[in-house]
Amino acid sequence: MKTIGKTMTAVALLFATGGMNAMAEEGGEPGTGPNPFADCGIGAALFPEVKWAAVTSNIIWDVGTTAVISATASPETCSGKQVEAARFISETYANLFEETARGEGEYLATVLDIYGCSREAQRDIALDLRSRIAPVVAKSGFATLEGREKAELYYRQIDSVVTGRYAGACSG
Amino acid sequence: MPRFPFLLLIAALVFPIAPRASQGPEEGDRLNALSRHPVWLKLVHYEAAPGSASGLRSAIASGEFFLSSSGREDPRAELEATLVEIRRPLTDFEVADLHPRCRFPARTLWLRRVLPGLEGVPPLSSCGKFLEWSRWEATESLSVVFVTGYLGNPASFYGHLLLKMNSSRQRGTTRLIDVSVNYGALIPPDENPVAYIFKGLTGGYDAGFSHIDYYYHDHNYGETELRDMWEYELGLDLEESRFVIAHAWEVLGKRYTYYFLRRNCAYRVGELVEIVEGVEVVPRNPLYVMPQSLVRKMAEARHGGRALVRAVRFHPSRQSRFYERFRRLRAEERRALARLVEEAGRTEVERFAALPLSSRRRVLDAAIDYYQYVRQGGDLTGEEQEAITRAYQAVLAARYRLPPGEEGGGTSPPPAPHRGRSPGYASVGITHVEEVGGQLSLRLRPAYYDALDGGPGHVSRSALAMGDLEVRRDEAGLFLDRLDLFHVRSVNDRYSGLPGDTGLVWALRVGMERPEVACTRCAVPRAQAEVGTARRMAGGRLLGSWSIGGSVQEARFGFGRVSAGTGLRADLLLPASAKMAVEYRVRRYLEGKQRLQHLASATLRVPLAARWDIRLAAIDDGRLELGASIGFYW
Repeated sequence: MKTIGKTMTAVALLFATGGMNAMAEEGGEPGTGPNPFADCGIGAALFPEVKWAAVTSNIIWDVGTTAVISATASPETCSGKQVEAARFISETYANLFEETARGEGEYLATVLDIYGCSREAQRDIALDLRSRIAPVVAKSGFATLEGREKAELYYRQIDSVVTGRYAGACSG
Repeated sequence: MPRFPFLLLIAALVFPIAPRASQGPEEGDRLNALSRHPVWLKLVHYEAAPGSASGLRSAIASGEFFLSSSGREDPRAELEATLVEIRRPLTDFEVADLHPRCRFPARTLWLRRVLPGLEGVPPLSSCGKFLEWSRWEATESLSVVFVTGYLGNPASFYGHLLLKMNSSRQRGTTRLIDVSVNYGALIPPDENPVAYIFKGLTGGYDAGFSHIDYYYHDHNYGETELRDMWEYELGLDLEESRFVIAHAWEVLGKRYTYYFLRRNCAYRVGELVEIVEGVEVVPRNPLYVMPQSLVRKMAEARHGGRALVRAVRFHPSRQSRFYERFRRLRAEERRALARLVEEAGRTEVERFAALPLSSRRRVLDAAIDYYQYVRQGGDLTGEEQEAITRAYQAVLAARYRLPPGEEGGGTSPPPAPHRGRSPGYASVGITHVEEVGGQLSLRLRPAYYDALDGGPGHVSRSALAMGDLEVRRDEAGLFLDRLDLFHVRSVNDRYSGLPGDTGLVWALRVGMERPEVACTRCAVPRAQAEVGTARRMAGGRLLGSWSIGGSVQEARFGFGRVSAGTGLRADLLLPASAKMAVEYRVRRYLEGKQRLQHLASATLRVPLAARWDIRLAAIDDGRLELGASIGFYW
């Protein structure tokens, strides 16, 4: 019940921010290509759990393929800058939300670099993104979302911005 | 000798390279020499192996790393097989990336360079997977990244090293999407601590290189484990950087044996860089190789007439960023932050709302880092985590309500690890023990630091030592006074004073020591553990701590086996970089003739130069011992 509630909260947040509507207005088509979070296994556990001998300092892992092991889509569709951006966001969403609040930062610049956005456009994109995310963060349900849900929220917002109004500046 | 015939001779030797049976003696000599070339030996990772016919055996055990069936122990056979295989036509392979040229691009590059007659060997343009992974056309430079030590995990005590492949794909300080290459051991889940230590020391684990975008490490080390990172960008030229990258591709996923002391991450990452002729970064210590020792050697090294290290960059952890933001807050801003935390992030509190915009930005940014820092603290209950999460969301939302922009920012870097001292320590001294007499003392500590001599690259105010040995000599001869097989003391000095900035102190010590001051030749096996709290005072010049703990030892000399105790300690920073530790302990034994023991001690350390120090010590448990020693770092 808790999971369903959180999922509904996430969907409600999306509608509340008009994210889906904005994409429709901009002409972007949701659903084009794979959903990185569902179809490409982004956000699935990438690191094996090692309890006592903790954690990743000296552990080898097979990250070349791990992220695709749980994928439902084929590797050929799990590629491209959107998927790369989603992978980055799944790991660093906390830093991204914070830097977006400030309007600048290296994580924010990185995800926009992944999308191929020109340096000249990145500041305007950041401000646009900020205005969309602010009401999302302000909703009471945001705090209770799982990390993956927050990452997916951020991804949807940034993807709609860079593939919508700023598509021309982010085609690199 | 005229040049033209000489060139003909060279050409005859190198082109074509035929299998051994039809080689002339000159070709055979040439191949022999090449198979023993330092670069070739490094490319195949040959090490001395007395049991092998060639005297060599590759450190890599994976069969697919060798193109000759005897290649693991026969450099000549491996070289000949490589020369044959890289010249096979592309059409022999269904997938171009499976061609040996593409599987072994570094070997190919090197052989094309040293054997100019290899015109039949095309460049790497058909190796799509390799070129994509390496971002070949965008290669700019290489960096060795040092991750500071982490006392929460024995494998991380001494820090870690990894290699970062810098590309022009991204600019910026950290370049988060650069590819990084990491060496580590394959440790099974649920491995118990005893097996972990034993196997790590004795080669009980397989290990190897893996690759991942750098931001995974940046996030894991910096955000989760709260460890600072230092990036040492190397001044290799483009060809050299690509050569190292090509070799990293060759060894990815190949199986090594992991040895914690020597054949560890520092050694293997250093080996990759040493593929470049003339570069030497791995310390030649036969006993151990430590990440900090490697970066020290690397920072001193020169290559091509210039420093090997082109630039050093500091990547602070979340904890360091929080402490820096806190340090920069003015007094009223700190009070506002404290009030904000008391009110769980509610910014309606008067003390915050009245601040100017720039102050509110600073306070909220500090609060954001604060909550992300304290949520990593161990032993938080579910309720506590939820409270932190809600408070974090409140301050984050408040930050969005302010206009964008950051006030100041950046973190003043502390001294870099390569500026630290050598890891080993030895000292000689004299002591006088009340009712016993005078003694000479000799101390040997292979690694690493204590609360009095910790420095760059070490965990602040803490202690980490393995194999710390002290022997003494009196009229009757030599005897063991103390041995710390293992001593770690972790201190968080509660820099901000805010809730959750733990101030936690914990310590573990296993070894041998004498149960009382006036007792010679009576060191007994002992293990002790303690936990407590610390607080910085006097602007950081004084650290006060209190702890409670227990110990188990061999019951001898009137002392029981089990004891419990408590202690107070003051660590002082004095002028001229001197430090002093003053301690008072009470120990109560649960059995034995001597039940209660009071112990007071004071130790002063005065550095004389980078590698020398003087220590004065006094210990009193009813009988007084005074000592003075001079020490040297190696």
